[in-house]
Amino acid sequence: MLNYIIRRLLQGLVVMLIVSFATFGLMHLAPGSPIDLMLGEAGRVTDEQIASIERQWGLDRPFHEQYIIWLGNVLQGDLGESVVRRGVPVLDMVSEAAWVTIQLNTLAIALAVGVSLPVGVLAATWRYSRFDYASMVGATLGVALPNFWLGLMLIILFTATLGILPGSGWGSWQQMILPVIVMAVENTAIFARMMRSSTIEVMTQDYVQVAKAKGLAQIPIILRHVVRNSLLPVISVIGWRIAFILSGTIVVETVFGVPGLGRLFITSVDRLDYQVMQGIVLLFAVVVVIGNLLTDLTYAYIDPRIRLS
Amino acid sequence: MADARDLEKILTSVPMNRRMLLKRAAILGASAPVIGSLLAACEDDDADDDEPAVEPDDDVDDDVEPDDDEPDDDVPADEEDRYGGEIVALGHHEIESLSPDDQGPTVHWTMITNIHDALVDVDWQFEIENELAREYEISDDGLEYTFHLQEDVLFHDGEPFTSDDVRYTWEFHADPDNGTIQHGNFMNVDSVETPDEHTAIVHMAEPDASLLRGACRIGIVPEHHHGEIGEDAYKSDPIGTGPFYVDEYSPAEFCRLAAYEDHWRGRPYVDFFTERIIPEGSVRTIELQAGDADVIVWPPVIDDVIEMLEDPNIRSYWCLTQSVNHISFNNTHEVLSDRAVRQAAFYATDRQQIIDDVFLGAAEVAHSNLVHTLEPYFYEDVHRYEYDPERAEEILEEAGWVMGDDGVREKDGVRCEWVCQVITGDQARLPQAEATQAYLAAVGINMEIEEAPFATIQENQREGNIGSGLYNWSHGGWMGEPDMSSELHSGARNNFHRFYNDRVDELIEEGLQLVETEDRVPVYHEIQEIVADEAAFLYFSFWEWYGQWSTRIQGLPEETDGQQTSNLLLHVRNYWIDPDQR
Repeated sequence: MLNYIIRRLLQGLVVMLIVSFATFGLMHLAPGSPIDLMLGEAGRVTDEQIASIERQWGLDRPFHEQYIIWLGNVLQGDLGESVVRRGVPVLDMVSEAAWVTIQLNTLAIALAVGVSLPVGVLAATWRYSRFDYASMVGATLGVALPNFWLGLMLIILFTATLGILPGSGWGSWQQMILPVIVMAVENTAIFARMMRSSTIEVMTQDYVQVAKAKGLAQIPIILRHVVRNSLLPVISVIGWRIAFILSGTIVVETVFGVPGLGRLFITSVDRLDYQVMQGIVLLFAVVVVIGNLLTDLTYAYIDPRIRLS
Repeated sequence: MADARDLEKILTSVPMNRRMLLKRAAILGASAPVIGSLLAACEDDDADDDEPAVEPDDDVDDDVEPDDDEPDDDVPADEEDRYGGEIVALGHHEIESLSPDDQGPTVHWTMITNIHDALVDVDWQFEIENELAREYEISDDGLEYTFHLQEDVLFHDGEPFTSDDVRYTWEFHADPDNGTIQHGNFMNVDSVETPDEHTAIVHMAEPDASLLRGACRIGIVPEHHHGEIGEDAYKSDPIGTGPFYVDEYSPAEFCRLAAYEDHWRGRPYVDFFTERIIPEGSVRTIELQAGDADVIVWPPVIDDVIEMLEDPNIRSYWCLTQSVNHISFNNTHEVLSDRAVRQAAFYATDRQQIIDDVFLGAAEVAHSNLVHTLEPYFYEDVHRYEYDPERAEEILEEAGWVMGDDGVREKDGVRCEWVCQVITGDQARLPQAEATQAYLAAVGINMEIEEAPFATIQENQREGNIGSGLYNWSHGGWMGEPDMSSELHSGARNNFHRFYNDRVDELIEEGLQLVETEDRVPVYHEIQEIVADEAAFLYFSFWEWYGQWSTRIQGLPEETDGQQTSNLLLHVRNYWIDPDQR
């Protein structure tokens, strides 16, 4: 098992190296300069001034030199400084934003799992009942509704109309409610559908039929034999959804003004803040690599038949 | 349909001109008799739609003017009632810096100008307003500016403000090795002399008439603090002499400023002035309407702005932007280098119709690169290109552009076509480009549309890779300064039209040498005349810009004369919150 983990981590390092090089290259190939964005349309600009600012901001060196310096610094735990917010370490910016995104996603996934698993199991148990139809219609809607639209509708309802919840910001529990709900809706829908179909499949297995034949009550059968085995595909999906955290949070964090990684990423793209973009992409490469590894390890824990070695 | 009295109440709830009133009336479904009676009551705003919506102010004078930014008389009897509370503004992107060097983005500027004072600033009527300069003199040759500074001014850390701080700040920006963003404004500064603690004399290497509206507006930083920690650290740890100091700063979330008790103009009325960051325009609108904020720094989409015009709890100020919405012409392009094509494109495009259809009428047709509210610099008699497709075809025929079988004209084997790039996902300007495309096609011009990121468009323009780009950009007029050397001078980095005209270059340079407004006016009139005759670029329209404030904020002017509504944010120190709504 240990060998497997080490091998996977080494593979992950190669992936991260490729991702960082590709991102660095793509960003520098993209036309435009953060300096022009900061200069805007007011005031006079001279080429001498641009050259001087490029020197100050470290943008005057060739691409490969910038990449090697960056990589060397990363290996020492230094992600560099923001190009736009001069003097501010990228690590600080990313850490602050990451903590917000971790809170948002942890709460959202906990809510999604907490709601979707019972709903999926009950829908499978009471198959073709009104509850089953209602939950699956809800799941379809949950996948179909765009986060952006849902967020605005909730703000209109709870902030503008009822005035009971703040529509933006992050920090108080009241501010967390709406973005967490919006983040959770899609995942709840996906997990519930997955849990339902998985449960139905497990319920047709021989060992469940045997348990029934032995005269065990339905609830113990479901809790002891069905749920645990039905979880495997759902766990797989949860791991897969980690890769979508960034794209999901960009929308939600923008709508609700949450200062998380999604917002920071879109801001850094908008302002061409190369160092910050690079830091966030690297962080997500790490998250995806480790997320996939953890998913596989969880598989092994839940299903002893899987031999990772 | 609403009752006439209700309509009158809604329609007259905020100060507005006839144009705004008509727009709001139409939104509310008012009948013609109701509108008629309201217009009759609106005698002060008798602007014709073809004329400036409001009368521009008198000429901006370089002479010293007394500081005239006292609050209105319409105040509670007890001045003590004015103190307290928090004004909340809503910005749309991260507040990346609080240093005056980074005051370009409006979201930054809103905070920076309330933390720092500059020597002078420009108010919402484009009047020069004294700040740390009590008075100033400019030598006749424009080579020496003497600033007499306010006394008894303290920085937020209690240290006194002196002329050394002015010298330090100016020399810091003037030194190209410091790589400051604002260097361009200081590039003609030679040295700063400080004969005493309250006098600073700026010696210019060459005259620069834009100095007052450029360099002088940049906040003064304390030598003892900025010199010690450096510019990078200063961006998040500023100390100014302004009416507010930084209380709490989280760049991606908010910046909260607290009232500075020892401000040389007296303590501001409100305890706090906070800018919160909400990227999504619709949410900013909702927050303002819900009473959770007091002003929007960056307006949302025009539909939301128009919706808020109806809100009796929101006071709206209107102006035209200085940035001109335009379609650039690459003057070195094989087709667009022909003046006839450029002029024909003007005549062929019904700009008013496009404004009405695409921008819901919330813009005015541009007749020059300068907005008509920028008097006296706007040139009234500039050649105007009214919609006349027949004239467009005539010009093209005369120039030898013959209609081809596929409906696109040709000349010497060259098809009359080019690529126009529009900002990716720009839902406002993409329909504008498509409508223009259709008008041009009707006279035999094929303008292809491509979407590209803004930075890509500008780089392509600089390198001459495309025929046109469509976005908004000022060509003179920023903060009332008519200088357009950054956009129309042959050597300018931002000469996106690749417009090279020796006479315009001479005039731009001359305009910066002349200190007196009356001497500068004919210079800028001639530039506009040449730019129009040459049809250097298709100046399309000037957008309407709305400053929208909660009515709980008191002390705001009744109207801004349609000049610069954003600059109301410079005077937050003078505003207070209605005690009943605090």
